[in-house]
Amino acid sequence: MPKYAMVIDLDRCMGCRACMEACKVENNTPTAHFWMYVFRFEEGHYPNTHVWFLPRPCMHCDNAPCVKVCPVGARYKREDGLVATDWDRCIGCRYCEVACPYGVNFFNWKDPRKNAYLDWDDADLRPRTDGNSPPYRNPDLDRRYGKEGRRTAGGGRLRGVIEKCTFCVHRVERGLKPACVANCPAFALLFGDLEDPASEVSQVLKRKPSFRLLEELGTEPRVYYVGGHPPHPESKPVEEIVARV
Amino acid sequence: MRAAWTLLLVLVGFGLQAVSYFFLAAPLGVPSSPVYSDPRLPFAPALFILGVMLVFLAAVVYELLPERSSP
Repeated sequence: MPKYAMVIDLDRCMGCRACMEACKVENNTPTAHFWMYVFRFEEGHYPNTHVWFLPRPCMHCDNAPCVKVCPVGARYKREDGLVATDWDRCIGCRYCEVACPYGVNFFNWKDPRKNAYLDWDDADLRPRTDGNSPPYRNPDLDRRYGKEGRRTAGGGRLRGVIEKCTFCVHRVERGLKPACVANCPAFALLFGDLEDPASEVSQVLKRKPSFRLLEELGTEPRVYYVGGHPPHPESKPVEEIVARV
Repeated sequence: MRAAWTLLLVLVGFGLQAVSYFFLAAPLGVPSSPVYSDPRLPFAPALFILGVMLVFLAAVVYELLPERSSP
């Protein structure tokens, strides 16, 4: 059984946010939902300032607080380590949103009939597409995954459910890398099996010192950071981070 | 009578909370397997919430049930 993990090299990340865009297009997430988010931090004082970037997907914790509090079993931990959300079961109670210390859960208010990225019949898009582009919906997002056979891929499907990064389960189960990893132009994001000593993630973690976000909480995240350092009180966010509704 | 019902609801509610939290939810401590976070019994958190609801319901029951009429 693989033990999937992500390694993020902060020395390589240049804050281009291609991962954010790739994630949105791949998973069809609603407007303003960023399952992968790249924080921009600034440190020091002029003229000695330093700007750095922190990509933050779901941490897919081994000791996941969101799984523990889900009253309906919609959020669960798979044997390969992915923390999945079954959209069919979710009742939108938001307990996971409150429990998660990383803020990776998003409540979907969106009208499911409107696909933010793929709805070519959208009145706003029609003048630009001229009706030449066919409507497209990735059929992989509607399939069932894992030995549990539950619908856990993609987002923006149902109004009133919680959604979060899935590590692109629909791609991982086909042997592909998550969209954010596959689209990172700087190769700052790596994904693989920690059980395999020859995998890229195992090799990098062996070579470089790493840290995980909020390790002191005991959540045992599956996302490791190499290079750089965790945010600290001196790290000022470049953009104001607004609380979500 | 209403005091007995109230006490019963409070005890059952707290009991349900204790049992579901300590014996049915995900174990406390250090992760020992990939599915460590999953509750030992599905819907254990729902039982905990039910316990909370019963405790609050006790106050409603106390207010709504009539007092024993004096002879």
